[in-house]
Amino acid sequence: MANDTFLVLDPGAFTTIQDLGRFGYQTLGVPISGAMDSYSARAANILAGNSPTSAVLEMTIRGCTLAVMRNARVALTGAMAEIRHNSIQRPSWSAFEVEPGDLLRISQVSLGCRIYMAVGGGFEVPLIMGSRSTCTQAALGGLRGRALQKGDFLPAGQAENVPGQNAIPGEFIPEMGQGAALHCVPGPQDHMFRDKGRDLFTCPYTVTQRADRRGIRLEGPQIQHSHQSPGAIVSEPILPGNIQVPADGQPIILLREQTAGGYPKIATVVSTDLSKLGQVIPGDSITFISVTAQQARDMNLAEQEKLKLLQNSVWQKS
Amino acid sequence: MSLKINNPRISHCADWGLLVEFGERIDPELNAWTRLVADRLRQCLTDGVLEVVTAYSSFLVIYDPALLDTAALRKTVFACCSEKKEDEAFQLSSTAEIPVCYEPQYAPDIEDVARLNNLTVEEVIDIHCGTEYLIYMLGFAPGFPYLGGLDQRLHTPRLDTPRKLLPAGAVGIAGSQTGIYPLASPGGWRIIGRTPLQLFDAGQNPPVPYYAPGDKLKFKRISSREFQRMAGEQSHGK
Repeated sequence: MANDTFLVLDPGAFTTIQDLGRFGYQTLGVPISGAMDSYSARAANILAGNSPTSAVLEMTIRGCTLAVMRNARVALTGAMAEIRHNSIQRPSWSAFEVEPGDLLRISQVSLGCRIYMAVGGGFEVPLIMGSRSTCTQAALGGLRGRALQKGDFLPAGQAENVPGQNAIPGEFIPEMGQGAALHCVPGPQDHMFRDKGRDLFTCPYTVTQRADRRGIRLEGPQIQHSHQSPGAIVSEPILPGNIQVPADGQPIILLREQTAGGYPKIATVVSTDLSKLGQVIPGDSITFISVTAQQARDMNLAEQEKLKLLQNSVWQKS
Repeated sequence: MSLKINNPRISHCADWGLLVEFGERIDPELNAWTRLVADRLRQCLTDGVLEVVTAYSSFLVIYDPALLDTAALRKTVFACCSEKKEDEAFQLSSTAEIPVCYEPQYAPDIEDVARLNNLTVEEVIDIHCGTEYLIYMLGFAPGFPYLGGLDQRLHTPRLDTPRKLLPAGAVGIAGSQTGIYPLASPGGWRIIGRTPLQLFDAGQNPPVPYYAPGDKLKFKRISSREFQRMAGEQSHGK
């Protein structure tokens, strides 16, 4: 098609098209989906000159190799990886122009878990229920509901805006590879745990192999349910960041591909810390810090403010 | 409504969720009330609410804290709980009839379900089709209905080892539940039949075209010939 901008030569380990998520259909069982590290996805769109809701590529653990078919501006953020543009090495968290015939090769990640790539005009796949995000379990959204494959063509929209700057100031680049300290608000079922769930905040937990877009299972000191607690509840809606604790006392942080859950939730990770969870890998250490709902709200507003500042600084003409 | 409904328990889910819980029971009236209040809330909310998600006896409001103040949101939730109109909730529900073929090629576990419950296969089918089920909620997977009302005579434990892949449309029993897998997926339910209907279709709006939470659901027995014909019509209709 006329707007095909890239040909996939190697799809990487698991690369999908994502935006900020699909809201409004969870009552029908359709999960939110969307970028796991939404901060990096937003930053990539800012660098590319896009609106925050434009669709980006999310590459997991190993990046993809793309042949360029049209002139475009691309931006890469998220996990640290080697980015080769023909023979030039490009830094992460930067944008640059590509031309037909160019080759873009993104390596295995060296720090973090997920790399984001935006293109000027955004990846142009159909809006399904208001979103371009891929939900592979339901085979919907993104590119035919699945991860990229060799030979796929990736269409892009028309770029409307060329930012003045090609790099993100250092203070806006999050640290990677240190595990994560997560702020969370106790509840909604903290009363079902011993000492109102204080166990969660006393020791670090380790990310297990069972970590994907649905959720992350942690391993660590057993969290005790209170004696009266049944250990399971009638299934409830799930918000990304809810921390469920089944009978074995090992917490599971639920993420973007699940709509209902039947275990008590000891606490909920603040939305602005979910991006950190998009960058953890098995073996990483997680600590939990208790905050109030008011503090959580302040953190959210502060991040929205920070993204505005970032956009102003990248979009200003020099 | 005969049910005594207390004020809900409202809790924060971090900075962008408000969970409203009406009780910890699976109960048709409590479920109807939950959906009714959620519907009222959807009608009076505007900017800042991303969605209102219902389940058995709770709903979750997802919102943007920059646009919405939770104190105001709580007030609105309580206001939606205050007027208890009698029939509002029940008027909207309809009954979805889901055709199911119970013949052996679509029902690998129906003989085991019969044997474990000291029934004949015919009796299993009659009981399964003879009940009207309530769709309490959808979840777990797109379009997957949590149904209430399975006859005790059909309660059967899950398979010891889940199957790696069940086809879309598989109808099964797990413990005291019966349900349908709208999409191909792994699962440990005992499979007693299959529907030719495509119950989840991302290209349609709504994507679950045959039922919604609060509807009743009935299974209707069809032959394998009808199954083939209906399956053919579904794929030609695209």
